[in-house]
Amino acid sequence: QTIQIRIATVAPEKSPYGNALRKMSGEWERISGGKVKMIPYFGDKLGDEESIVQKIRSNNLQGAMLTLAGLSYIDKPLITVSAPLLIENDKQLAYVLETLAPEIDKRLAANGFIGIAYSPAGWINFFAKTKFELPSDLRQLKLGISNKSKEIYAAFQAMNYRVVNVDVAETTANLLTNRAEAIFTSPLIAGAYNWVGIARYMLNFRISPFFGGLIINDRTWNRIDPSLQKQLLESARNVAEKELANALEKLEADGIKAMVAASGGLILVNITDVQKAVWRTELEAGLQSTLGSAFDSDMYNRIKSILADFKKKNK
Amino acid sequence: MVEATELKINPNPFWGFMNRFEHGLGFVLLMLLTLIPVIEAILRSVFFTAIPYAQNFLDNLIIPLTFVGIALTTKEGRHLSINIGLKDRKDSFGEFVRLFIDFVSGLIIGLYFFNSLEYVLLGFSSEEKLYGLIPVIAFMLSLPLCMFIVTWRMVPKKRGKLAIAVYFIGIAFSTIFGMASIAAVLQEVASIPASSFGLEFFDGSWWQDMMTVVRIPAVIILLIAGVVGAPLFLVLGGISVFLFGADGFTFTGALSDSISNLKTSSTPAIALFTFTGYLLSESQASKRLIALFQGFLGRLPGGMIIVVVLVSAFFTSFTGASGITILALGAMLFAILKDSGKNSESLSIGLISSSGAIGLMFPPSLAIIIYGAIQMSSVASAGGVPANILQLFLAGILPGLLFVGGMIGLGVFLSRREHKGIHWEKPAKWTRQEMFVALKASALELLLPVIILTVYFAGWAGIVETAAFAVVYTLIIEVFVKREIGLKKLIEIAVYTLIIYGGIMAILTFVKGLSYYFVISQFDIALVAWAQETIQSPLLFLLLLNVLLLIVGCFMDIFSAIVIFVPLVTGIATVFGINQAHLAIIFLSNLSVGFITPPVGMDLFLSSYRFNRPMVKIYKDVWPFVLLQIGIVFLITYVPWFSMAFL
Ligand code: NA
Ligand code: NA
Repeated sequence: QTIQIRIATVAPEKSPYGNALRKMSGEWERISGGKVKMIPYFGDKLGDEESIVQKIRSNNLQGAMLTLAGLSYIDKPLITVSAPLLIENDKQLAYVLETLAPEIDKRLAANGFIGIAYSPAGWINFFAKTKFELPSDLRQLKLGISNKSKEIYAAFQAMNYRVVNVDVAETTANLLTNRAEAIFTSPLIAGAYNWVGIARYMLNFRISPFFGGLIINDRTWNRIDPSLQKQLLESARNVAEKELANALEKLEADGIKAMVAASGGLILVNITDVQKAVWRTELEAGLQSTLGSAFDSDMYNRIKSILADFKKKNK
Repeated sequence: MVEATELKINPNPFWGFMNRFEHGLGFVLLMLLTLIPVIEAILRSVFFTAIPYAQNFLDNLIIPLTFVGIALTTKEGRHLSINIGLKDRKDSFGEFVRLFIDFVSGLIIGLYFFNSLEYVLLGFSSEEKLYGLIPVIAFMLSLPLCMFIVTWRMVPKKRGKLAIAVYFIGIAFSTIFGMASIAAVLQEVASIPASSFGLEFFDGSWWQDMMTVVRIPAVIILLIAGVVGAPLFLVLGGISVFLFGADGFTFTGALSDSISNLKTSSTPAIALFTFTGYLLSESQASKRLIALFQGFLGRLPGGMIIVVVLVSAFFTSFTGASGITILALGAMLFAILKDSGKNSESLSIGLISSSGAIGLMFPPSLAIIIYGAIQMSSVASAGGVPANILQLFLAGILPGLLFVGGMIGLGVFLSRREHKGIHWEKPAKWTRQEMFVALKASALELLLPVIILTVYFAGWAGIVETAAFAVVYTLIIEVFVKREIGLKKLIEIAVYTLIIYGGIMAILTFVKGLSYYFVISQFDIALVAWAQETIQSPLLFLLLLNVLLLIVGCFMDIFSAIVIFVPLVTGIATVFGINQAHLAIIFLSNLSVGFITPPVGMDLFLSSYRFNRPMVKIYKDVWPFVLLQIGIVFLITYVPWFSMAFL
């Protein structure tokens, strides 16, 4: 009997995620001799990530390729990975992710999900309609954040930024009318929706990383023969770690280059090390005040210790 | 007309208290939905601060609000349905039809109850808490609770034992077809393993086999039930319950989509703009405005027609969703046309019903904004050039004016033809003094649209906050300045708002099942593949698009239709090289005409609701306008110039 696995992702079909999912789907069908059939659904056709998680819980869907925001609907502390300026570069992120993966597996399993593969997925930056360099500049502006990322929204609110909730569909209008004068989002998304044409100034300083994870509900996964499970896992991890991660890194870099080159396009705001230190102090203090509410203290400390390890090793 | 007269209160002291409690709860929730966004916007703009987690709270608040609304709609017996007269017949055939409806109602509402329990108990963890205090699942439980109350309220108590028995037989059947949900719930709550029912998995189970066998007869039975008058929220959602079952899963996925739809900005806006409309129509504001319009345009034959079309277009342009205009302004516009303009009831209802969507093309239409956002990624990924919001608004100007001009022309023509036979005395010409007095009396209400546009375009507020501002402004005028609405009346108005809102949301919530079925069964992908294979010419594509969207407009609200069909349609259109801005206008104008094309269409339902007239009567009244608008749609479709002139 074939096991159908409907997998949803909010990423578009023609994106590194789409390609990776297609590839995994083909591999799984080949490895299982047609017994495991993955059916991918792309874009927001099956709803936002909160709704996708619910659909997996009720077995309407059997799995999903989720972003960190989606994963934190399953296990809230996970969002702490994207706490502002906690993790600062790709190497740190890769190390944290590698170390943390077994723990993430456990957290997901406790909620009825199997973590199949994880991969770094990019960075979130500040964009604004006017030039800004420092936290004090940004605080003058109304900062649009989607309430879908509840924790991030609350964290910036707690840090006394003038946060406004922006629906994805309303963001363009909100930027045009100045209801939001700045947004906090990934360059890829800002480019895809052409928000960069309005909020043209991007602080060239990465604030929060996020990663993606392929998950499947345990009741579906447990129907697969254990020896086959092992092969499927291996193949999926291979695609995620080798191909997806590289493709995303390249896409983000190329994307930003293209947006800068376009006429009326993106303007990168480069800041000095002193200014970066101001951001660090500011966001670090803000972060401390939101530990225990928006972000999870234990997870925060765990990531801190992993990062300390990383720094020791790389000395 | 649904007027906010005395609401039904049960004479039994306990149930009477419960009725009042329900009204009070609805009122409090609606006021919170109004006040929180306004306070939030003021705090943000003036004091640079905010209510922590306010947005999150609002997202949860809308859920019990909606289900209180649906429960109230049921209590007042105001669910939308088609009535071709069979269920009103006094003979035994009429009784048979009524019993048939009872059976279907019991069956589907029972299924909804079990499905919603499964959805909430399995889809949400009890750990997530708002402010670390109120579990989110408590808000969600309002859904199964509402379904339980609706089940109770739909018992045909007044129609005798046989009817009640048949209804409960329907419910009994729902336990068989709802077995998958029941097993899942029992496993979750009582730790009774679903395997003891042979249902540890739904796909491949006896339940799926059963649903596969009954699927086609069930769909046919439900369609018949819908035609003879079963509530549409049961019929259209019920069809998808059986379709899902044959695929091995329950209605929960569709419910999940419906719940996230509640959390989008358009849903609270529907509730709040409806509230504003009721506040205006229940105060003396409508009378003052009518006096004013009569003074300025009364002597012009058909002057009231012009007023109604312009007001409708204007109002729809900032509510973005067609239909809200009918709800909010229906009563007032009706009075303007019929009482001031001395037009027939048919012409008045026909014009108002068919003017509900004509402002959809003008800024700041939410429909255009959402269309723009959705097509952005799908056009780009199909290798085409997406249009930006500004281009879409520019493209909409001439087509929008065609609709407005066409409606005015046809309306004035029909009105003058009606006036030919009768003696119509022109009102006396107003003096400047009289004009000034009327203007002054209505000045505060006339400012409402100005304030709404200012608040929105100055960037002080998003669409929900703008709608909330509109309510607060109207409350201040009618409650404090003009003192025409007291607290008791205010609660009544809130309850009536919720009755109408509940009727719309019942449809939007459960009809979502059909669009969800489309996507999950990958019918959408098959459709694109089929189109690319079969359709050779762009003209044929456009013709098929016209037909498809007219049909889609029957079954879906504009926002669901955009989310589901824009990615498909833009993908195919890219292949045929059709300009994306032109396509957007074709898409939206077609859909909006679908809303008024008989036999099914959102605006037809809303109109039937608002004017308390049978659907068949509305069909008769709208047809000249429907023909006109279909003509305009074809003109817009095949003469791209109208959309491209300003690009
Ligand atoms: Na909506
Ligand atoms: Na229709």
